Amino acid sequence: MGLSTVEIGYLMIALVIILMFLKMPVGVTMILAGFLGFYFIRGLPAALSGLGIITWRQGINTILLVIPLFTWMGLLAAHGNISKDAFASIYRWVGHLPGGLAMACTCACTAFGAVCGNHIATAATMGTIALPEMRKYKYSDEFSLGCIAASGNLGIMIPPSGAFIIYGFLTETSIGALFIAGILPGLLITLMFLIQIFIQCKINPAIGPAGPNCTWDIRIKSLKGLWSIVTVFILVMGGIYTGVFTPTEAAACGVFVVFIIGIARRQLTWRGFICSLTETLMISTMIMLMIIGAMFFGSFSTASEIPTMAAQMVDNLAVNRYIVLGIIMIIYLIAGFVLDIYAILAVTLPIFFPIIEALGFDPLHFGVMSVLTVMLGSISPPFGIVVFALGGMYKDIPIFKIFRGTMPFFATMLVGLIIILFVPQLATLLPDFMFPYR
Amino acid sequence: MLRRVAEYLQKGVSAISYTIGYIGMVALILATLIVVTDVFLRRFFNAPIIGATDITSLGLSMVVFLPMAWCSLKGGHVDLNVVVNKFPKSVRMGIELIIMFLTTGTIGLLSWQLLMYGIRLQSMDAGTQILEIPTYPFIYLATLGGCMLTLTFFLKFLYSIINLLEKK
Repeated sequence: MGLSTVEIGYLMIALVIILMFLKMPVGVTMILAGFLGFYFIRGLPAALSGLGIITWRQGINTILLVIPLFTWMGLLAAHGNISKDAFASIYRWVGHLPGGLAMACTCACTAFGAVCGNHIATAATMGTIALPEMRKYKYSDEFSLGCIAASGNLGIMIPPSGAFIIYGFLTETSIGALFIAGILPGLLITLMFLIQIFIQCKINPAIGPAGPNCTWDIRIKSLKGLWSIVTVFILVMGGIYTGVFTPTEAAACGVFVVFIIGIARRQLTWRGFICSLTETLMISTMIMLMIIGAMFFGSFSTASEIPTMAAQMVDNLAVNRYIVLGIIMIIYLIAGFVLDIYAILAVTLPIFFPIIEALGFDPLHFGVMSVLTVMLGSISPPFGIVVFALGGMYKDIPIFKIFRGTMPFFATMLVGLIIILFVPQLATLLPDFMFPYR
Repeated sequence: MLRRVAEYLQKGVSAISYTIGYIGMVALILATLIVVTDVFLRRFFNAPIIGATDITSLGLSMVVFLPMAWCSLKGGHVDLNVVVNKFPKSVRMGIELIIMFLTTGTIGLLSWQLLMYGIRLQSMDAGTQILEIPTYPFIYLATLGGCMLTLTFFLKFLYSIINLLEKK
């Protein structure tokens, strides 16, 4: 046909985008474009055999076992009501402050994020627990659901995080280091949310009135509601941090411990157990099809030399590297409006990551930044996925009202993103302690 | 007539997809137990399970491929409907027909190549690294998962034709 490999690469990227917009499943678009690309570059036999071999090799890659395992751990915790106790406990400590219930919701989401790696699951779980309480204390629905949607997002920043697993796998970055890298940024965003909630409720007390005060005795006794989350977090993250476990082993042990806790507390029912399994398989296979597509398309894009060329081109540009990073972040933000985080990472990382490496950014820093940017997209209009998930659960509240409620949180997260952009140590400090020679 | 064929096919595809999905579920439980047991034996008795990675990787293949059709039947695979929803209904139905045809073809091709790879490995008598468990039966299982996924997309393709013919 006379096209160069790079031109074929560009054509296939365009094909992925067009097919995606025409509602082809994201994973399949990448498989199809990768296959056609290989066919044009290497011929039919190579394209066909690559399809079988790459698909199978991803399907038996044990690193990927962490995806179903961490998903299952979070869903078991949700069905075992672990999040409910955390919320009740934190509420005793902050409930008397203006917006105290919203603060408790944010902190409980952060705590629950420590066992659940999925933002939609975190928001949905916390919505069922926090919203009835917030309504009881006359919180505005707009503010309450905005808070739940934004705070639920923390589930993918606080480790273990499904997004970091995929990022780590696709970029060959240590998943353990990424988990550790997410801790400080996650806590920073949590703290910023708390300050924002306090200010919002001071300015307009009607949206989140203060609740009753508790004695210190009650507060201290309530801490026992947090023990299960703390136990699982210490086991999983402590195990990874100290090198006792690989992430896969930590995830499996986490599942086992959450299961035992659920049974011991008599909160996990047989129905809850089966539901957690079916939901896990749904989420995992959805992610795995995208990973197979991303790996196949990634192999093709490497063969087309596009990432190398793009990296060289960006390297030769006489612009500040932060401008390039900013453009990539804007693309992530826009993609976050319409696409699931896993799909965005699967589609973009094979192209963007070599550029980021060529610009000299730390892979951990970029990982945190990209996940945070997509988080922003998932609570913003017009198609924020977390807002739609909550909108589906609470049909009596118009979607635009929830979006309006998320806007102050969106602004706070944007400030957080800028802080993390210019203070990369927030993402790299803890991993540097963990892996001094990484 | 076409609708009746599609409905019969759907019954069969659903039954098989759910059954193999449950097998994937059991595989996940077993893989988890093997990893936990391996960690426990290694930490406390210095006696890890030999070839635990082989077993879990083969288990993972069942977790990945067998429930894919189930996920598709429940509409779990991510797609982007923002743009297509803006088109007039007749255009939308036409696009859906073409996309489902391409999707069926792509996943069909993938399943076929998995089968070919399985046949190749069977002829080479290839096994896992440590326990040398033959991998081809698991590739055939993955092929089964792929074929069922192909059929779920083929069903959607059939329903697109029916909708177009009935102008629904």
